[in-house]
Amino acid sequence: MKLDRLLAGLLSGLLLIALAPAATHGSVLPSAGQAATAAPDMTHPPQVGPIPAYRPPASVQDQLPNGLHIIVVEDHRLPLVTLRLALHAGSSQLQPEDAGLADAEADLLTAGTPGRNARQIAEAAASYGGQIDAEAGSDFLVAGTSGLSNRVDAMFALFSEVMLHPTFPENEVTLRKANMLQELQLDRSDPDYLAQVRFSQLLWGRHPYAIVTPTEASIARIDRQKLLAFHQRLFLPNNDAVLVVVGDIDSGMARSMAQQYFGQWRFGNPPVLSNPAPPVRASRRIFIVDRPGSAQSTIMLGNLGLTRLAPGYFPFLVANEVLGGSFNSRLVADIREQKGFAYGIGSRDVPKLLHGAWHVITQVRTPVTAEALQAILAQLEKIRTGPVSPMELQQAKQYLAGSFIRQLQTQAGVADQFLNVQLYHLPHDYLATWVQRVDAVSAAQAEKSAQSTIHPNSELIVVVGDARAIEAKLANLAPGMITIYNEKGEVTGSYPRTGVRQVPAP
Amino acid sequence: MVAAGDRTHGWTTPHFFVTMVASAVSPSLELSMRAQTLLFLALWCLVLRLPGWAQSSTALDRVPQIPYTRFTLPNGMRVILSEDHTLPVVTESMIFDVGGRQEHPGRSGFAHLFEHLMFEGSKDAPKGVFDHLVEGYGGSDNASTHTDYTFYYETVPSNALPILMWLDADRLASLNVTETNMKNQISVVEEEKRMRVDNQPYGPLLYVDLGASAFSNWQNAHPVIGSFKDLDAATLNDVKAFFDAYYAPRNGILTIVGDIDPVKTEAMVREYFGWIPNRGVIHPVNTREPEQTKEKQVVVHDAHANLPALAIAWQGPPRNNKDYYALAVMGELLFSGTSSRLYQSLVKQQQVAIDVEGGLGFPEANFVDYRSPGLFGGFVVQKAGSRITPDLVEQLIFREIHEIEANGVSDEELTRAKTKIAAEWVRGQQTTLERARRLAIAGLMDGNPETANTLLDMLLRVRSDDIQQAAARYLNHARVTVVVDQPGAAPPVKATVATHLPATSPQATRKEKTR
Repeated sequence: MKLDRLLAGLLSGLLLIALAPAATHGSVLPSAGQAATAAPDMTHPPQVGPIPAYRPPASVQDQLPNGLHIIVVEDHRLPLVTLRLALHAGSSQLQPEDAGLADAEADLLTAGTPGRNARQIAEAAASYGGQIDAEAGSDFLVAGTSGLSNRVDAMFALFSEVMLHPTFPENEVTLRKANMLQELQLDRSDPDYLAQVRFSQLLWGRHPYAIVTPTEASIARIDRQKLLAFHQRLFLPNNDAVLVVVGDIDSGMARSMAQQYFGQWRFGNPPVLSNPAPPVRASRRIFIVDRPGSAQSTIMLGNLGLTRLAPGYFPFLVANEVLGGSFNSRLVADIREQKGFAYGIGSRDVPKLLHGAWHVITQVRTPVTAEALQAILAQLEKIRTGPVSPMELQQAKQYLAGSFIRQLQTQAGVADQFLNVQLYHLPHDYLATWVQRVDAVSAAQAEKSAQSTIHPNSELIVVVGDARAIEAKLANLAPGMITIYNEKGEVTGSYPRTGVRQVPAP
Repeated sequence: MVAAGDRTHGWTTPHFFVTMVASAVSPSLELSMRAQTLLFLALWCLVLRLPGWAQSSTALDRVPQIPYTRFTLPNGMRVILSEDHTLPVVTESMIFDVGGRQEHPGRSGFAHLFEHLMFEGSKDAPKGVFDHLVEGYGGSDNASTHTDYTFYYETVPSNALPILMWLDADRLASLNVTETNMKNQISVVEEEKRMRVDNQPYGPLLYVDLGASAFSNWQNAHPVIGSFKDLDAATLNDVKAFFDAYYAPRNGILTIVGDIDPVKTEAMVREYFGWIPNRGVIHPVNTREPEQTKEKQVVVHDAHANLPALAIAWQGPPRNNKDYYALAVMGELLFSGTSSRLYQSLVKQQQVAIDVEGGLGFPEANFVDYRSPGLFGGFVVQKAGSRITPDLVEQLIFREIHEIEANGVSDEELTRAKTKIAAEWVRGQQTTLERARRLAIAGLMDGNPETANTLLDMLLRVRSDDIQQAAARYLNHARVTVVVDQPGAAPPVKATVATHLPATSPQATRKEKTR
């Protein structure tokens, strides 16, 4: 087949990570300036060399006496500096009834300090060309900003003031709570959001990773005292805190600014939490979030996965890539290109600090919901049992390598990578060797990791769609009853239908 | 109007919209999706040599340039090269002088459909090869269709540049579209329209009704995404004619940025692209827009929205005139970030909205995307509540405009806005893709890539009285169009759409408003 012949070059020329310097272009060239009038040989793609050697940016690392880790990466291409501060203050440090508190904390850091109100903070940030953003994930709260390098002192000063001395003014807290309620309305019109909320709840059970969204009730509980207490308890320099500085700044100056603006930050006793283990799932189960009249169904399925430090992590990255990590993957080829069920589909590993998760997500036309799910499950079975071809292996590895290098083009991308190394306790040569680690994965290792990490027979499956249109056919694909929820997360019924009942959400 | 059609991701959309749809794309696509949101406010360059420099230095004291060389092939294809060895990465892009505005009545959406067909196979690289090779060599590719241009790009590890040249040259020389592929892509585009527009809250508002209401010449007023009827009507003859006229080498610019050897790259470009013949004839379209003299208001019923919203727009100034630069800065003052005037007024003080977005070029991603006529506009997601009427929101917007018009802006506020513009511009210059896009758009829209290196300076020279004059001239009641988005299904149809106006979405009803 012609396609195979054209793609064959992918295999022959493409060893990852040459130790040689930049590759030369492989074609025979006419001298520059000379106009070619005849067509070149277009019948096959040109031969090319391997990906040129890649050098990760160098960093200077340090730790202040209060425990704060400092990472500085000089980048003088542009007059720009990027800051990140992260610490172990994510939503998993909260009780379920306080869902949304970490998000509110992150949003309201810029709402006021003893010296400035929200508007003055926003204007001070604009004066160095940026704004301060913060986001609470399940493990970490990450804040960041960037601005022109000739204003770097003002940037450090404001960033430190906002991180260390937020006041959470009453009027700002009230406004944020009101807007969180409105945003919840907005979110609930998005079927993918509904899928992710339900999937997390069911996948993690009583583990705090289960909570990814607030409710009306948990928003109502947020107040100034809780926000201050959160700050006091978790905003500690020795709570896995790390400051990353990337950009047009001398590393010595960056370190002395870190000392000046974060050196007075008092350390404390970060809490140590013990979390219940996530549930073990013995058999495949389907859950529906009912959206009457929905033209599409969002299907999200998956299981627990791996952390970045797990021994099989890199083989699994490659296996996931082959399965559904890119446009070249098996799921796209089958579900989108071959069967035309969906516009987009992908699989993704989500490594967190304590555990990992893995899932597939897609949106399909309502009438083909069960057929699409069946086809996806067949692909999961296939990657566990069938061989990964040499071309699939090579494409997956090249794609991972290329994507990794591409994201290092921006200061934000560089900062995030160094942040991850520190936050997830990864080896110091992690970034320098990342591409080699991917390249070292064999087909056999990828297949083995798929077998041990992807479990089609005990998959958690959440479908957001028109329950009455899809439930009967879906029921054939998993044993037991299908539990049906509404958009608010309340159980409203089950299939087979035994009469409508109203049960509060777990 | 808007609607950059993105082949795999939906469109290049205003930031607010992207945040809403970002979770809807498959996870592997999120990265580049997110990267695209960075482009929203990406702004442009400045140059040391220009006399206005003293003023510029209040924001930047070292001025980063995008270095480049350029040449023209014997067939008229323009080429821009820019060398940078920071990482072993290279972006190759092709921009063509065709967009939604070149479409003919009865063929709305065709430019975007054609963009999809450019990935459907060519003589020596049949269907599937393009994406397989780009991704297989570790790269990413995509394209977007705008009102005034269509942009194709691939970013790969730099060893794979010859592969990109082979792929792009083959599709430019001998695109091979079959009836089956065309029908297939019509379905894909229609699915994209359903997903990104028809089934999204505020989708029809932003991508159909705002442009249809604010413009009256069909060439400007019809949506880039098109209509199902027009898409279904496309034929292979249309495809061939469009390809021959607009995708001839003389109608495009090839831009290559990154880890390249310029001498070898030029030779390779001449080898792969120099032999491709020109074909077809371009028939220019009339895009002249009559001056609006009376406020227009349209109501859209939006079954997917949970919260009411409002879009507002005025026809903007010609590209690159004094008012254009002034209104670009005005957009920053009114809309950009939490320090902006309208965020402070609508979200914080009056508390009638949860978010505002907008500026010159809206709802295109960026004001540099527009070749006149374009819009200055904004989008407000309101809070629910009967107190908050569209008239109230409109009054609050005009209050800020009139305040600036009457009193100007302080040096402090203006400097702050310019510093943000400068920093945003610098941020955008980090990637090979963004530099390629800037050089290509400048080369195409201004006839000279150097404007990518001078635009920021023009913005930094804007003075308070420039903004006052431009606001008075352009952002007044007689020239405004307001589209109100009401959550919930439409009431029984009442045909009030005047026949001389372009079609709005089926959910829209129009009423003329007088003041």
